Amino acid sequence: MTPPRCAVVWCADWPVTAAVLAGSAGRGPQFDPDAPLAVVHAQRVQACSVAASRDGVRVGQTRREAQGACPHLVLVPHDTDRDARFFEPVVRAVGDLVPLVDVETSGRLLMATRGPSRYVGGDERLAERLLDLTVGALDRARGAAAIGVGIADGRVAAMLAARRSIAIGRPVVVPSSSTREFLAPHSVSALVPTIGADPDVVDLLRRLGLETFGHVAALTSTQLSDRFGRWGEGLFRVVSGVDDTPPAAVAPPDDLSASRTFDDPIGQIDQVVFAAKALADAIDTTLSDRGLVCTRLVVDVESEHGERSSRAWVHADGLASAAVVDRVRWQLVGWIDGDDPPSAGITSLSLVPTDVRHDSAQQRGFWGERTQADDTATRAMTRLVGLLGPDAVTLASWRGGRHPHDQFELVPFASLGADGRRLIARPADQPPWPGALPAPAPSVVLPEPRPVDVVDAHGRAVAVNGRGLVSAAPARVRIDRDERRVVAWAGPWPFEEKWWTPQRRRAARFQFVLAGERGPDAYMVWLENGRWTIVGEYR
Amino acid sequence: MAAQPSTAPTIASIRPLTFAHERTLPVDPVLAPVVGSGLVRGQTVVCAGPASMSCAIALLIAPTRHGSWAAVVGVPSFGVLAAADMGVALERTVFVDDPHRVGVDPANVLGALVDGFDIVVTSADFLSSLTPSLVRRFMTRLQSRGAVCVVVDRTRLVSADLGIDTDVHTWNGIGDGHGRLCARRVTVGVDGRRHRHGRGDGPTRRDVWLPGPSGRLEEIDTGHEPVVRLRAVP
Repeated sequence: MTPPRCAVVWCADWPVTAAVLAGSAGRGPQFDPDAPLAVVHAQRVQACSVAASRDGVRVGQTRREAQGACPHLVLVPHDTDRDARFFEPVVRAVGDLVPLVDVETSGRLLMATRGPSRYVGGDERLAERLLDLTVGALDRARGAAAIGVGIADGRVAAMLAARRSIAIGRPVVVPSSSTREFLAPHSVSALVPTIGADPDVVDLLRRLGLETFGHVAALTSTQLSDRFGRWGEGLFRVVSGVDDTPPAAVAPPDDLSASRTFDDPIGQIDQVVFAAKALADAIDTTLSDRGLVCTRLVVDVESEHGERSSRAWVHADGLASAAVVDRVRWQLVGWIDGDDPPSAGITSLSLVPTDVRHDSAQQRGFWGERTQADDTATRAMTRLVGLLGPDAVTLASWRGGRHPHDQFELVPFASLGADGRRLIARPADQPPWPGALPAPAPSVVLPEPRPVDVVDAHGRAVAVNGRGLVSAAPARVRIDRDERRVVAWAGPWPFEEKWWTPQRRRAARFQFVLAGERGPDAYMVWLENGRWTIVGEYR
Repeated sequence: MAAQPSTAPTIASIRPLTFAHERTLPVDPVLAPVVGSGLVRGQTVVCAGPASMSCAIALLIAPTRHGSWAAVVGVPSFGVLAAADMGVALERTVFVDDPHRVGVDPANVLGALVDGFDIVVTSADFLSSLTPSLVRRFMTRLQSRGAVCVVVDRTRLVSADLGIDTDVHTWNGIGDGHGRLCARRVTVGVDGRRHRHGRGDGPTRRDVWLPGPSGRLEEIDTGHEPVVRLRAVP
């Protein structure tokens, strides 16, 4: 079976181009397209400009490596909204010629070519038109944008053709008969950007002696699935040119779609996105009940004056509800900030999953089985994040540590689920942390330690010497103006942390029980640099 | 004379599905004899005394473990490790920043909290930073939504439906320069304007280990003082 013929328009290192466009449109800092630029996300280079790659900056390097290779590298912050917003003109320009365009990610478009090719008179003509349209739409970023257009049988072949086209500077059309020959010499490392393969697996292929697509395709499907399971089977289809995820040019089934109309037109993106969240959740539930995931979804938005924005979004791993919400926001941002914004509020929103596949190994939500209470709480947290900001709503995740305040870290709710981040529960059989004081832990951990004075029976300040011995038994503790008698005390338990760094700290830990009106009160007290502070209370 | 027909079937037929006092959140069995078998939804519980924070944490144990969600707002000193040791399900405990710190109207935040969570833990300090009318609105909304508010320390602004007072009896395990804090014997007593639910004629005061030697809430087994057992650490 030959896969359908596709065209791919690929803007190399799109995040950099988007940043340059944003600068020239006055929506962000200005960047010189000819300077070495790199977009860094999570300490790794995500994209870099031509000048930067000439100096040896590579995608995937750590920030330090990149700065080592090119000392005057300009770092550009990562912003997916910006990427989406400035890609919109390209999508529009291409959409004028080819009505069914799939946006794979910002910077990459995928379309079936059968109809459009016939319309313009051949694949070569189509490829040239696509290149012209894209270059025209990106007029302002000349110099920074390297654009490739590739047409071939199947998505992966088309993508590789587009990559080659970026290198040689003109469109690449691979004839139907020679797909396999075209694929064969490509290095297996091309699997990472094209099908999102795990770099470790690609490395493994290399170590197995399979350097190119041709090497892998020379094996049999059975051999690959023996070694790599389902993924290996898929890999065989990819490398031999029988791609199994073609862009759809068929009418979508409508029983999975979800839509909503608003009686009062909505003028704010956030409100539409909020509605989209509910719709996406509904679709997610329906699909996961049937064991399916959505790989392609059309988002349709209509304004009160009948203007429409319709986009198809593709993701080979499946679009979970959070991913759908992101794409709705990108689409709206692109539409409203674009050249042809809607003249009235939004009145309807519909999400139509057009491609679904069986959910092979998708992970469930980060709380496992969901209940009504979980859904209600999740909605409330989302709302609180909207009110207070992304870092204000947190959950505790275990990480271990010596002190009561660092055994659990507070993880923003907004960051959970993204990049596979999840809460870590403390293992039930976790032995005591080395150097930590045993339970019970203080029920009150002061965010700011409170300074106190600790004196012995003669009123002299109590100190601890280098050998960890106290100068005299503490007798009284002065908290603010209040002087209180020490009923019992224990310690010191000295600790020394990070002595190899400037953040080194040495302190002696004590527990004090002080006489109180309603019984003894216990405190955790530290002596650090000659200063006593209360860090926790057993209240 | 004909026997009076029983009114029981009629009462059963007009009875609502659940009475308000039957809509409760579970309470840890150690506290149940004195606090009652459940926290009635819509009520406000004030924990006071020298063990107020531990007491508030103890109230979270059973509900969070049974699938309820708790939100902690305006308690920046909440001891997360102590809560974990006591057995609170932290995966259902959410910490929310003080809205004043971010400069957001607290009314909306409190509304979202009451709508989304079964238990809202807050402190007297935080409530005092709000206007009295906002606190009243918060309490009304709490009643209509059926959430429980746990306030750490007393404040004039809130009249407790259930007040839990604590007195510390002793701290075990620590001496004059030796040992370490091990267990605390706390007397827990209740007051407040509502009846405790499901308690019957139980005592109004009870001694418990809060916390016990393992950091948990434990019953006092007379004759067995808690002993710290040494164990090998790899």
